[in-house]
Amino acid sequence: MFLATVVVFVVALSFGFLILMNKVEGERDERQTQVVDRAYKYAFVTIMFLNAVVYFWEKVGNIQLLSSEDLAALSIWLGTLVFAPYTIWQHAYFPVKVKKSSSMGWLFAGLGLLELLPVTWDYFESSKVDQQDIYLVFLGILLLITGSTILLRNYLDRKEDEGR
Amino acid sequence: MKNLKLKAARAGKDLSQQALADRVGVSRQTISAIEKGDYNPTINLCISICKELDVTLNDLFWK
Repeated sequence: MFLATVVVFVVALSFGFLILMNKVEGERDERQTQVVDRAYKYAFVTIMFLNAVVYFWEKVGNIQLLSSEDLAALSIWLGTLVFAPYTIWQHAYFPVKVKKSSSMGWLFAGLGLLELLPVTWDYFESSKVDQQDIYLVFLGILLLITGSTILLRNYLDRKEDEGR
Repeated sequence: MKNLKLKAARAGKDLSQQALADRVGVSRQTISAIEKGDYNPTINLCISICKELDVTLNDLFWK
């Protein structure tokens, strides 16, 4: 649990650093701005779709599928899961002057694995998963996918540059 | 539709996509997208690119 807390703290610091880096290094170009706008739209539609599905499922089944806090967290998670990989894949996540490196990808992927491994370990040891562990799983999946997308994109870009 | 004129004009100036992108203030992928025909630039970007390559808008972006 302590390790997970440390990981979450490091993740929060990383995001803070990313935001600061984006502000310092400048703006996105016009194509990147278009892509980001499109990504926001897709994320919004995905969130609305999720909320609509949950709402109708609860209405029809007359059950409470998710608490309001869980639904809000899941909405944010899903929106970020749509936004981040899409903008990374379209070369729009990082502003123009930010030098891309694979270290960010390795950081996110590594943190994602660090989040998932304790939960997996707990599950195999006790066949039980706590509520908090479920949040860690979702965070881990998000970080792993984001990190993997950065690494794959950088790899394909390098191959393309070598092919020129 | 691919913009082969842009590619040719850039090659004529011996500029890489990255070099041209740096000069006009966009990312390399944006120049690549314009050349592939995946992105239609705004008029301001068109003008910036033409200035860097010493050509007119007609030469690069009009049929």
